[in-house]
Amino acid sequence: MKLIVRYFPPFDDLTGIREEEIQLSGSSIKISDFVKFLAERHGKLTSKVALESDEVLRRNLIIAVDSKIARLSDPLRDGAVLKILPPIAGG
Amino acid sequence: MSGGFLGKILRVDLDERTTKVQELPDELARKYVGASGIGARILYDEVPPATEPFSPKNLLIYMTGPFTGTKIPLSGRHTITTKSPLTGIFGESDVGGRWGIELRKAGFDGIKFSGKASSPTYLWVHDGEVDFRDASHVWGLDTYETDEVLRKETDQKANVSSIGPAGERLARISAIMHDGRDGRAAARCGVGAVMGSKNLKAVVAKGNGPIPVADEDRVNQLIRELGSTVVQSTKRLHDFGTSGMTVTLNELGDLPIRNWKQGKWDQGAERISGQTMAKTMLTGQYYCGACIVGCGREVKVEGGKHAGVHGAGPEYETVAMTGSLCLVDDLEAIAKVHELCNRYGLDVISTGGVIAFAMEAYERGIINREMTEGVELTWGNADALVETVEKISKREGIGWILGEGVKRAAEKFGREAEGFAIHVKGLEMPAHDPRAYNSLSVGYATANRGACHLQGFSYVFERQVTMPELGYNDIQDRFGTSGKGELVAKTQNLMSLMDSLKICKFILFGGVKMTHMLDWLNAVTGWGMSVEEFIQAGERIYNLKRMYNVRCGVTSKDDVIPQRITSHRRGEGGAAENLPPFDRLLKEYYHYRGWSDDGIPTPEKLRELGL
Repeated sequence: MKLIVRYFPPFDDLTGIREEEIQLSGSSIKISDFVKFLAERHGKLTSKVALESDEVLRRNLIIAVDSKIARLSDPLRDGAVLKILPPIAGG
Repeated sequence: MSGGFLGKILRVDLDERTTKVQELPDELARKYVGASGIGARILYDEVPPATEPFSPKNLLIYMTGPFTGTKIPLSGRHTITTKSPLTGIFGESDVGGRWGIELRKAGFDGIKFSGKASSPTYLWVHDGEVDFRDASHVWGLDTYETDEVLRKETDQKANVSSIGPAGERLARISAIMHDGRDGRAAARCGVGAVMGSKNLKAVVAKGNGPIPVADEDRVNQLIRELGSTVVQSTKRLHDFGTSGMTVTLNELGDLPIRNWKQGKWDQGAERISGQTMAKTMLTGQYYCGACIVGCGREVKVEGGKHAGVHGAGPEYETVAMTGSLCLVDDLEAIAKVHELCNRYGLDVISTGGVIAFAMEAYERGIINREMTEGVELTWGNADALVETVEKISKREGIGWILGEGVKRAAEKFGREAEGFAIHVKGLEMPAHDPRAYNSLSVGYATANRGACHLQGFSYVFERQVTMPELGYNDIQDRFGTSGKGELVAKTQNLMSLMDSLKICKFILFGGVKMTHMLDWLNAVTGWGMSVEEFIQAGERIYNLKRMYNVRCGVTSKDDVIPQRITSHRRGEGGAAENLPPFDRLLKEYYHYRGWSDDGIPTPEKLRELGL
């Protein structure tokens, strides 16, 4: 499965890239699989990802697919554009 | 008196220059929990609905809560309650900093001001003593200057709550500022103008007394259990402040753009974000009393036309309301506007809202360059933004009517202006778009002080927070259309409690849940309050404020949101086509609340709540 990943500040600084194309193998890939991949691929993101719940993950980063905040259980489709965005905190 | 309260409210009569200490009964404290609840009870009992907000008979009530001054994290807060000159109904403003802590150390849970001083006056409250002092020499000074002068003549370690020139000149969108250059604002509802109407320039507080806590060991233990989780979970808030979420909110269609007409603004959002601020002007973080997060920004602009800006930096509401809403992407100009609003004592939300409105009026030809005295109020014009803030604070030219707030300005401009004046009950809408979260439409329409995101905070449960105690084990669907009335009512009740305890709502981003707060309350007060009693107290507070408004004539006819929000699809961005099904959600809300179809709490509901 081919995915486009866009990193927004501060994640562009942490990964050193603004955008990349990645390949994930296997069928029925979920956001949680992508999160694991992300942690392995970019060491500086390892501490930012969490798999225990959407609430805990979103304290550190937001993953948006087609302008929707993705849940860990959401399936991914080939060619999807994923945005790695800063967490939301504040009023 | 149990722990949590000193049991003393200072009553100040500015007409007679007299003070009296009034007892705060434990029963009243328990029924209304603290700051916001007790302030509302006092207003309900002592300020009749026909009272003109600028009349000496209106009260200005400062109240702390049982957590203020304790070790409970994020609790350095207090509330200011009054009848609002901006909306003509219940008004309150919640603020952080250190002033509330000093007031309690000085021996008082709160102060209520009545009357009007015959000349500019400030009050010096210190260790149980109270002095009326002449404020003629600081009348006209901005709040940063006032802070410096008054601390010099009282105590360098004192904390100052003061108005600036905007409040002195009765601008209805004026704030009461705290902690000088650290710029903590009690901004909403025009509380600064009420203070100005009383010729009260400032209240200075300092004390060394103890804050009563029933079980100090239990408090320490509970804090230890959660403290590190809160710090870790809010690290981004510390690093980038509230405006660190700007880019993400733009992606979701939440960021308000071009007076609520546009759906996204990708490059602009990044230019005004907390991440850009961190790279260009951030010098440090500010922590309110007992805070372990540090979301406050400290900035310094070194060069360019806004060189010299130094102190409290823009929050998310500033970058959105004076940035994206006006299409201004110059972060240094936004920092300048933030500083001007702090210094002059203006609500930055209302200020941004009314200037964006004026820009649209200018675009439509309803106002022109002659009326603006040469200011080109075009979208994205940062210089015009700065100039207009100056005019509002000095009440010069068009600044006079803009300082009255967007509702009155629209009535004055006439023609179709009311169609793009974005407010609820006269209070300018803050920087979250109900088209991005359906619950927010009902939240704005039914917030007791007018359009307010913090009195319900329901939308955070539609994007990142859960609350199992209220039945929300999962994050809610922001575009969902059922259960929103119930969500709003439940979260409004919870926020009433947090506003009364005095604990910052940002602690919810640190994983703190309702039962944690109840444990803390019981440890501080020794009350042994049950979950049911706690929840009902929140509902009681919310209904009491509603009843104040009902006495002022508020019904369902006033529980509306601007037509632009219910009818204008933006066609782009993360909420391109969504319009909240407002009428249906509002009916569901009334039904869940036990209110009539006219939006009035039923006698049965009031009896159930002991009102």
